[in-house]
Amino acid sequence: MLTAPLSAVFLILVAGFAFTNLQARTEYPPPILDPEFGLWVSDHDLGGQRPLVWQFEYWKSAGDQILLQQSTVAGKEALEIQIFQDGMDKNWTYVRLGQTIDGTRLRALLDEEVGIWVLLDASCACNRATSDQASTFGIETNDGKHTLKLLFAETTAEMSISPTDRVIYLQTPIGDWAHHLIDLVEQYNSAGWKPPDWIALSIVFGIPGSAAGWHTVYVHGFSATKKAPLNPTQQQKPTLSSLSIRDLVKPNAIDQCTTASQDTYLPETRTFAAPEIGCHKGLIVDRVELGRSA
Amino acid sequence: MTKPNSLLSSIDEVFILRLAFLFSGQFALYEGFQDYNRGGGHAEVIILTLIIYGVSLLVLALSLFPNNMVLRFRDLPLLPFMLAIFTGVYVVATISYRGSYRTDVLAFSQYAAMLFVNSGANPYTQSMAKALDLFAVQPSDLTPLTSGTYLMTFQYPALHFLVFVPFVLLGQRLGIMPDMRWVLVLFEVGIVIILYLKGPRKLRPLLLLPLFAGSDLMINFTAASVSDVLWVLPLLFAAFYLERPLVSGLFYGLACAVKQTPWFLAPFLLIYLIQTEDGKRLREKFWPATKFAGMTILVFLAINLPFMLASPTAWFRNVLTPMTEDLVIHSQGFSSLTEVGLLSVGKVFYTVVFASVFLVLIVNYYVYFDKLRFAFWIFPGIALWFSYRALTNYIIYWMPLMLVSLILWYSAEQMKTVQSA
Repeated sequence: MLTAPLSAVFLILVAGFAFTNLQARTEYPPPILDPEFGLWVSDHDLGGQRPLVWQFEYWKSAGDQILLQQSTVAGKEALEIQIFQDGMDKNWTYVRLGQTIDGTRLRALLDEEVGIWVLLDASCACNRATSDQASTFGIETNDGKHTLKLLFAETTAEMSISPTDRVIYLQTPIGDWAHHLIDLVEQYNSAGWKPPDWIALSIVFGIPGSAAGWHTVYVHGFSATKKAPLNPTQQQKPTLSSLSIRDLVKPNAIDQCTTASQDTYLPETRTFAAPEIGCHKGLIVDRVELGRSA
Repeated sequence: MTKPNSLLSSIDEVFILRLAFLFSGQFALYEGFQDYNRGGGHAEVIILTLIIYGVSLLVLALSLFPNNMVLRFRDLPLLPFMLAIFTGVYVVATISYRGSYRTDVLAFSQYAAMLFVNSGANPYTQSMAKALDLFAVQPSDLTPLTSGTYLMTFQYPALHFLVFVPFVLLGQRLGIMPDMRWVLVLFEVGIVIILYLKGPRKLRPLLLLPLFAGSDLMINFTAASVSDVLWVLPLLFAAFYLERPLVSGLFYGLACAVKQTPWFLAPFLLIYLIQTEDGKRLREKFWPATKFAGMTILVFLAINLPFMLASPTAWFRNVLTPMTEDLVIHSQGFSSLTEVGLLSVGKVFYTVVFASVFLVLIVNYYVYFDKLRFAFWIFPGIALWFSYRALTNYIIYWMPLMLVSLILWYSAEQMKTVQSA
C-alpha cells in the first residue's frame, strides 16, 4: 500500500506550502500584560482592590492611605491612584505597580514604541510638594543594572544622567489627558547601555512627607505600536546630550493642541530637537526621542 | 484446551508482581520526600510523610518475601499509589498553593456552577472575572490574548460546570466553599480502580505503572487544578463498552459534553466501529456506528441544548474559543519553536499542519486498520501536538485510554489463543 509514503509526502508538501505562503503575523503575547488595567482583585492588606496582573507594592506610614480604583475621567477609563500623605513625618508614601518583561515580550517591547496616557489631577486637596522634594509620578524601568525613570510633571527639571540611572522629565499638563510615547531602545542607545535581558516596568507614584493631603493621578493605559521605519535623516548616530525636555517644548504647544482641528505632529527644529510635540485627538502628545539629532 | 490464565507462567507472574511492589514503593517514597520538602513545617504533613514512608518500606520489603506472601498481597501496590495521590494533592494544593487554583479552567467552572445554582444564570453570557478573586488565580495561570487582556469567558461544554453543581449545593448546605480538586481526585480514583479491575488479574499492578511514570498525570496536574480527568473517566467506559454501541455512545457523549479534547476521537471511533463489522452487509456494517453516533449526539444535546438555545452566539463563540478568540501561541509542542522566536509563523500555519496531520491519521487508520486497530487513542494527542496550543495535558491524559486499549488487545489475544487451541 502506498498510503503511508504518500501521507509523508503530503505532510511535507502541506507544511512547505504553509510555511512559504502562510507567513502571517506571529501571535506573540503582548509586551505589556493587562495594559488597560481590566482585571482587579481584592487586596485584604490594602483594604481595597488592586489590578491583578500588575505586581503591587507600597510603602506608607501609619496615618497615610492608599487607594487604587477603576474610574472614568474625561471619557477615559483609568486606573486611579490616590495617596493620602498625613504629613506627620518626613517619610515618603509610595506606590509601585509593575511587571517583569522578558523573552518574546521583551523583544516585542523593544521593537515597539510604548505609549501611555496619563492625567495629573488638577484638584489636589493638598500641600504642593516643595521644590526640593517634588512628588514622583512616572514610569520606571529597571534591568538589574540600569534604572530609567520617565517622570510626568507639570514643570520639569534638567534630565539627570549617571552611568546607571537616567531621569527624564516629560512635561504633562495638569487636568488634561496627555499621551507620551517612549522608545526604550533609543533611551538605552543614548545612555550607552547594553540592551537588557529583562526589565521590570513599573508605574511609580510617590508623595514626600512635606506634601500633606490627597494626591491623585490617573493612567488610562499603555499601548504598543510598531516603530515606523526611520528615514535617512533620522538614521544618524544618536548623540547623548544633557537635554531638558522643558527646553524643547514649544511654549504654546498646549494652546495649539486645544485648537487643532486634526491630529498633528510639530517636530522641533532646534539644534537638539529631540521630542516631537504634537496633538492627538485634541490632547498634547510628546514623542520621547532624546539623543537623536534632527 | 489451553486456559487463558496459563499464558503467563507463575514465575513470570510473581516476578511482575515483585517489580510492581518495587515500583510503587519507590514511587511513594519519592512523593513522600517531595511532600516533606513542600510542607515539612506542618504537623499534618509530617504525619502523612511518616505514613507514606512506612507503607513504602513495607511494600518494598514485601517485594522479596516468599512467593505465597507476594501472591497473597498482590493488590498491595495500589496502596502506595493511592496514598501518594491523596497526600500529594493535599500538600501541593493546600500548602504549596495555599488553596489557590492554578488554572483559570477550574476557577471558571466552579464559578459558573455557583452562578447557575445561585441565580440560574447562563455562564456562557457572564464574565468569569470574579472567579479570579474567589480562587486567588495567579496572572501566570490565565489564558492571555494577543491584546494583552485575558480570556474571561467559560469556554467548555456545559457538563464541565454542571458536574460541580452537586458539590456546590453540598458546600452551601455545609456552609463551606469546597475545593473542587477533590472532585477531580474522585474521578482519578475512579479511573485507577476501573483500570485495575478491568485489567488481567495477573498483570493488574503492572498496568498502573504508566500512570505513575512521573508525578504530573496523577498528582501535580490535579493539584494544579487541571480538569481533564473529568472527560477521561466517561471515555474509559466508552472504550470498554465499544462492543455495545449505545452504551459506548452514551459515555462518549458525556465525555464530549465535558471538554472539546475527546471530540477529536470521533472519526477514529467511527472507523473502529465500521471496520470491526467488516465483511458484513452494508447496513449491518454501518448500524453500530450509526447507533453510537446517534446516542452521542443525543446525550451531548441533552446536556448542552438548553444553553445553546438560551444564547446560541455565546455558546458557540465560547466553546469554539481557540478558533474565535485571539489566543497567543502557547505550547509544549511544535509551536513552541515560534513561542521562543525560532520559527516566525502564525497560528494559521500550525492550524494547517494540525489539520493535515489529523487527516493523515484518519486516512491511515482506515487503510491500515488491522495494524493500527488498538493504537488510535493517542492519535488526537499526536495531532494536537502540532496545533498552536499544544499543552501537555492535551497529550498525557490519553494514557488511561491507551491502557484500556492494551487491556482490549490482551483480551483479543486471549480469545485468539483460546480459539486456536
